[in-house]
Amino acid sequence: MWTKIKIFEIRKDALESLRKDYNGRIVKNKRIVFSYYYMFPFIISITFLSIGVSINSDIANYFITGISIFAGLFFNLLLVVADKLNVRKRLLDSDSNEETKNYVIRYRHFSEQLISQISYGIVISIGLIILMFFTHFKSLLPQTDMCYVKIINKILEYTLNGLIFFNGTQFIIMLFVILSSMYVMLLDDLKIKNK
Amino acid sequence: MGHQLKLDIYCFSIRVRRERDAEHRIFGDFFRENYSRDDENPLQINKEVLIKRFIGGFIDSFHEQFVLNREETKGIATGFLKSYPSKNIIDGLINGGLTGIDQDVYDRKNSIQREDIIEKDKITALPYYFKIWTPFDGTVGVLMIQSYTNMGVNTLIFQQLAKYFVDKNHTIEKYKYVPEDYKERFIKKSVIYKVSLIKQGLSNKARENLNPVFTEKENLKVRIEITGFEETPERFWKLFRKKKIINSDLTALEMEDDDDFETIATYKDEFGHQSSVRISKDKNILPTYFLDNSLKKEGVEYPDYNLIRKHTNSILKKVKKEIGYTPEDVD
Repeated sequence: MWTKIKIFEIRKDALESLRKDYNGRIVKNKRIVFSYYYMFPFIISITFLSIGVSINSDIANYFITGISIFAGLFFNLLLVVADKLNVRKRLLDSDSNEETKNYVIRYRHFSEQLISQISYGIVISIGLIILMFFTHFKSLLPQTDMCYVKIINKILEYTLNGLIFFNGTQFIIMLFVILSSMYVMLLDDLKIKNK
Repeated sequence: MGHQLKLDIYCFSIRVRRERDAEHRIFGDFFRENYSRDDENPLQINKEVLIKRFIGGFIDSFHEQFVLNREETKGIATGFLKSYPSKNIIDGLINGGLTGIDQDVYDRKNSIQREDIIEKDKITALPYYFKIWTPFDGTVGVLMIQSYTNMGVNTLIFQQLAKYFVDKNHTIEKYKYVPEDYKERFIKKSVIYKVSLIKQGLSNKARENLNPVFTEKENLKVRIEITGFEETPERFWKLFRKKKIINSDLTALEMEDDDDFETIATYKDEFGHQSSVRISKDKNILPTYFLDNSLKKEGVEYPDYNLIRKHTNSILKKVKKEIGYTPEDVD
């Protein structure tokens, strides 16, 4: 595989980060992450499909615009996180205390986790945009009265919508995770400025 | 052979006295609150100064005398104390030993001729190494006290420290700790050779059945000891708790179910060092931590300060990681 593309590594790191604390230790069970990151989106997806919610091309356009904005912001955020880590690293120039060293290490763990989550957020956004884009091809599906073609069309439609709901819910969960981390980061910023 | 050095490790926390539901305090806050002066900004004061004042106060609490236990059989006094502020460590040597009894001094090779008398108001003191680690950003500290196989002043040192915190309106809580790798090593080299079943709170009828002399004795304690076997911990635990701990009929002692009594397994290692573990409490074993003889000062049985300091620093590093203080290393 072409090693320049690290999508799977980003995904692995991001999912692992959901189980880690800021000391870099895995503290959450795999099952817990599985239940809120896979089971919950799956249930949402099935519920939406069963009540007949579907994404048409007009709604998809709105979503594509919204998600693109988030993806753009995420790219920006990556740079901010790295920059804030550098500010903390500079603390060590004037302070060799154990707690400062540990604080910088913890912040580094936090930054690594946040970067992997943001990167994975971008990956999910791109995936969602591609899925939404496919809704525009709905009209290209053969429209006949033949039963099996209808069934295939329906299966394709359900699969596409199911994937959009599933990935969309995962995207929202990741968004909340990133938001929470940003909240911690900004509060910590205030503390640093007060020192 | 000689004396062996032992090390007791405790994790401890402090909280404000007489305050209900008071939370454990962050040591940094405690130091800033109690050791900064009115004209100083507690947030800007140098940590080194705070620790120096803490040590000064602790030394002063001895009033240049030996502090005795309640029975006046043992006493301690400060030898020397050193601080490593950037590492949140205070360590040093405490002198302590027996007192309160007249002791005759003999040459080991002559049991007839008395050479000297140590009067009861004198102390025969030995140096004891101790280390306190109080993280400025944490609520759990570590206290290490060295002792000898047959002599120790742990309780006294801890009492003096507790008293010092009480003077600052704080209480101290501690629990014993043994690093995981030491426990594993001990278990690996040990055999289980004794199981004790302890039953308390027998009913009137059961006490009477045992013997009428015990009928009125409400605090009666029955201890059944099973010895005469030696088994590796792995095999022992595999076989021991298949269904019930004891299959024999102990209904007369109200010991039908495993929950009715306490079960203690005793381990011993190749040198005969023993340690017990309560089966009901997750089999957490706390063996005595013996220090290597290479940590002794050359020619004497005392610990060498520099060697024991380095060694206990490495133990502290492990403990800090195990109690979740130190973050995982980064590349």
